[in-house]
Amino acid sequence: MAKKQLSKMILLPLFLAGITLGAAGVLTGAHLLTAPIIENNKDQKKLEGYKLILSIDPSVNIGLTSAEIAKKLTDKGVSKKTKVNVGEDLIGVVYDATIKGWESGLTFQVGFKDDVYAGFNLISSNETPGIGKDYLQFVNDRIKGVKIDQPVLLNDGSYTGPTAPITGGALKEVLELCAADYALGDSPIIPPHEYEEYIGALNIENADQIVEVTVSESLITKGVSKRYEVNLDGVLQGIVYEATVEGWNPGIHFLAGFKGNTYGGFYLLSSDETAGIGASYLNEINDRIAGVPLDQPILIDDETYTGPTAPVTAAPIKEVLGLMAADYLGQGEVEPEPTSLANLNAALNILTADDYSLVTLTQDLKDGGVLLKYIVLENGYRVGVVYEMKVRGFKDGLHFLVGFNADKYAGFKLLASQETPDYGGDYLTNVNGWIKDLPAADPVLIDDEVNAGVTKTVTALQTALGLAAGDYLATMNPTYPETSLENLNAALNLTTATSYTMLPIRETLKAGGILLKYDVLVEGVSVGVVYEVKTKGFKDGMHFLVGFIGENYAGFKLLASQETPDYGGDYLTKVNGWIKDQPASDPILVGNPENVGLTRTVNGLKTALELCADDYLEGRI
Amino acid sequence: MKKHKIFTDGIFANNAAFMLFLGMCPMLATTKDFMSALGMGIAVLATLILTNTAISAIRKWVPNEIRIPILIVIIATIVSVIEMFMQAYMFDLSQTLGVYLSLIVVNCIILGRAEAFAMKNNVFDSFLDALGTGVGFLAGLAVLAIAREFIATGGLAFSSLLTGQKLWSFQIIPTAYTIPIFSDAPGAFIMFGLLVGLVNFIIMKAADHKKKKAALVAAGGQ
Amino acid sequence: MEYLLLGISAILINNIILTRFLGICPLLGVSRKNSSAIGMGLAVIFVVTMSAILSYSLFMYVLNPLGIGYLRLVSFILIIASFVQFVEMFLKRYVPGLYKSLGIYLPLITTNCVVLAVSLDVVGITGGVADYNFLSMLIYSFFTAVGYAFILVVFSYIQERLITDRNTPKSFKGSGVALITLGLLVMAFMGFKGMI
Repeated sequence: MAKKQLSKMILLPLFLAGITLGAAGVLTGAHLLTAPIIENNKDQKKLEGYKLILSIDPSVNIGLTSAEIAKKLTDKGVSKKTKVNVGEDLIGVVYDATIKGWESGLTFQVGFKDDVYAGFNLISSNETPGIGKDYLQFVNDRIKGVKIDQPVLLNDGSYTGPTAPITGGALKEVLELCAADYALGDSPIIPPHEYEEYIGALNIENADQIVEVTVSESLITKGVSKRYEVNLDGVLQGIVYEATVEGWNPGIHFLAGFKGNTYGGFYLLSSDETAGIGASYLNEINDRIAGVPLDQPILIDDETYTGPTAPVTAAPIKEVLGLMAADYLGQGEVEPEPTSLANLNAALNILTADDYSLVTLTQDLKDGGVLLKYIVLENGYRVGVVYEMKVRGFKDGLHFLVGFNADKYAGFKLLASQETPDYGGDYLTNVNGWIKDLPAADPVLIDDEVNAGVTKTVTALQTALGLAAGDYLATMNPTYPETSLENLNAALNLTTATSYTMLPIRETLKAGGILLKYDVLVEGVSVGVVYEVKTKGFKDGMHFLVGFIGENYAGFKLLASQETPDYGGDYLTKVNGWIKDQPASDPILVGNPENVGLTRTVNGLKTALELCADDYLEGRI
Repeated sequence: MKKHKIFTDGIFANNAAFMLFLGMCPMLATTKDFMSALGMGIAVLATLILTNTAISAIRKWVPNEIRIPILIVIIATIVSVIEMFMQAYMFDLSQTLGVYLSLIVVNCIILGRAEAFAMKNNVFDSFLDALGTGVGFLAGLAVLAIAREFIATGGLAFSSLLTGQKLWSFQIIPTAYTIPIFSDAPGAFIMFGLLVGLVNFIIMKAADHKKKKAALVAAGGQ
Repeated sequence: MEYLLLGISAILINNIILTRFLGICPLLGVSRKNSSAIGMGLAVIFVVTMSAILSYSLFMYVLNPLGIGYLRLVSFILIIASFVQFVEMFLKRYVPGLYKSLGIYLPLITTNCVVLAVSLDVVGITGGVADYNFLSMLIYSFFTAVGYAFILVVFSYIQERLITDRNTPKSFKGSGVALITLGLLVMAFMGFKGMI
């Protein structure tokens, strides 16, 4: 009896297991048969969806290009971003996404065209029939045509269809996210590495944007291939360099991060170093350098270091990290503090400057030791240009200011130096007196007798000053040929002007393209003011005069332009007629039907004209 | 038992929806409109036919002690296969039915008929029973769906089961007089309740009538 | 906080019977008496929660990683059936009174849509990430079942009145009026919709 029971207890479950296995087999078979077809169905629907959403006729051939998707969107379930073209024209952008509403697996497409939602196409969902499912049927009608900066799927009084708060909420979030991304235009570049790797190289919490920036030549020859800015929410988190060096074996490929004034970290991508020796050494590097200030030496493999050693691996890594650190600092990541106004005044041998603005430096200037370039202002008018430089004379740290005005050296102000007191140090105290008022185009400090014994200091100074002077003359002191009296008359719609004088221009106006400001005279009496402007419309080189008399625009005289003949070019010929006698205090060139299609020309003009008008009116008070 | 009676029993006397109150979950959910009800009914019908015949075919080899789990495994397998094939070949319909397709597994009708009939009868009879019950269920679904759709939207809409494309629709009751709540959950329950009451009413009247007739016959036969 | 909301919504707003029409068969049957309704409710809570845990674990740690997710229907239902069997044996031995009063409705928990539906719900995967982590799965399944039990008990009180009422027309007696009452109950609960 017991035996029968026992055998039953074994046989029955076995039987059940057998049936279950059989069932599993049947299911696997069915799955293999149907899975590709189901995928195909979904894909078909998606393809049709592109045309459906953007209202393209099903018979028209479309071209699809995939665009990269920002992490923010992929985290929320967006799987694809596709640009849809008919022929050459971009019709719209469609996003594919799979999210969880009430149930998971809510797959859909949302499309954008111009600046509105183009439509919504549901591919598949597991939402509850009667609730979520019904809600989804109305989504397309509700979002179609809504502007992309407006919220969608609002559940206020105006909506009377089926509601499904959970489905609707989840959908709304993703739709608006896609709209925001579409509004940005082309999405940021997806980095060649995973976000996690950049985050690891900087030992930070998170990042959502990687921007590749140029690496200087000197680094490239040493094996540094890329340099990235790592951002989160638009704020720079740190800089990451990518390099490949040869240790014991070639191909140590890594990321090194820098943030603030410290090393961020070290992230190994791949290496062929020996396990237990080089490989183990590489694994320790991140912990050893993270957080170390950049002015301290790193990876010192002396008695104090108890981890694995690998001299052949270590040496090239150390060298490259040092180069990266120098580059990181030299690139101005650690911004040099601007100097004081007192010093700037001293560098120009004046007393009255009250403000300055900084000019971006070219790589050449930086390589030559220029730290900062100041336009020194008094009451908004430029009174000089000062270069702050740090070079090596006899010793490092020769830190000074050199000033220029008109076409001359204006002065020299020493900020710090390590030069030998009785030699270079002494020499430096005289430089201001020696170069002041000398033409910037001429070489300076050439008295051999005086220079004896301080060759290194002098040579370094000469090179540095020459660099600054050359840059100043090339970029900061251009002289514009003044225009003819005939043109000035035309700009005022007069014929009677006999002479003019030049008026000084505020720096801010120069930034806006104003070249010169003329006070136009008839028999010695001022009748109007003319501004000469060179700005960019559709193309660069839109060069003209605009005149003011009394409280109004007096006229417009085109001197040169590259605008398209039948469009901007044609428009410009009519401007004189349109602005003549318009009040200078009113916005100009608005509401003109001829503005259509010439947005850039018109905007360029308008901005410049109104800038002149404002300055003119200010000057009349 | 007469063959055709097996069939008709399934539709009338043993109607799964209105008589036995089995399989109510999908009933209320998928009868919002006629086409989904139709789709669901067909799915259940297909499942029933397959499960009844399959189980009837192997009934002699199923040990009694573990028959319930085995039935369940077979039913679950068949439903999974139907689900997969529906997603492959009738994609839109599978989307419409959604999770209720999976829930056919626990639809009392399937297990009920398998246990009560297929285990005890031959394949052909089981097939007829499945057909009858399935059609009966389908009819029940259809009636409820038509009633709900009519009152909620004023008319009916027809679309293709395979592609989901709308084919034809008509509306009799003007929109102002429709009662939309019948489209929603409460309406489902209420309408179902009303129909049950109606069916009961008809049956009771028929039973009464039969009684009276029998009484008459008995009286008249004397 | 999120979990609290999950719980509340499962009971009041997205109640599985009232909004998803699941688990109705036993509702009309068993809730004639209070005590059996409460007992049934507790049994359902237990089965649903445990089945969800087992199904979730099986899916997340075995089926999905192996790519055989399509076997979930068969495996879940087996888990549920076995579990109910286990509960049946347990009750028969230790709480025979409850076992008797539940009668045939106990094994019918196996085919109760609620159990399978909850198990299927919690194994959703969107974009490669599971929709429910273990804790939220636990909370969701438990509170959904509580919501179900809640309605079960409430309805049993209503049913008591309905059965003893003399004014119901004959043809509506029993299921007819029960269903209509349920409909009204749903309408009442619809008021909770905007709450979260």
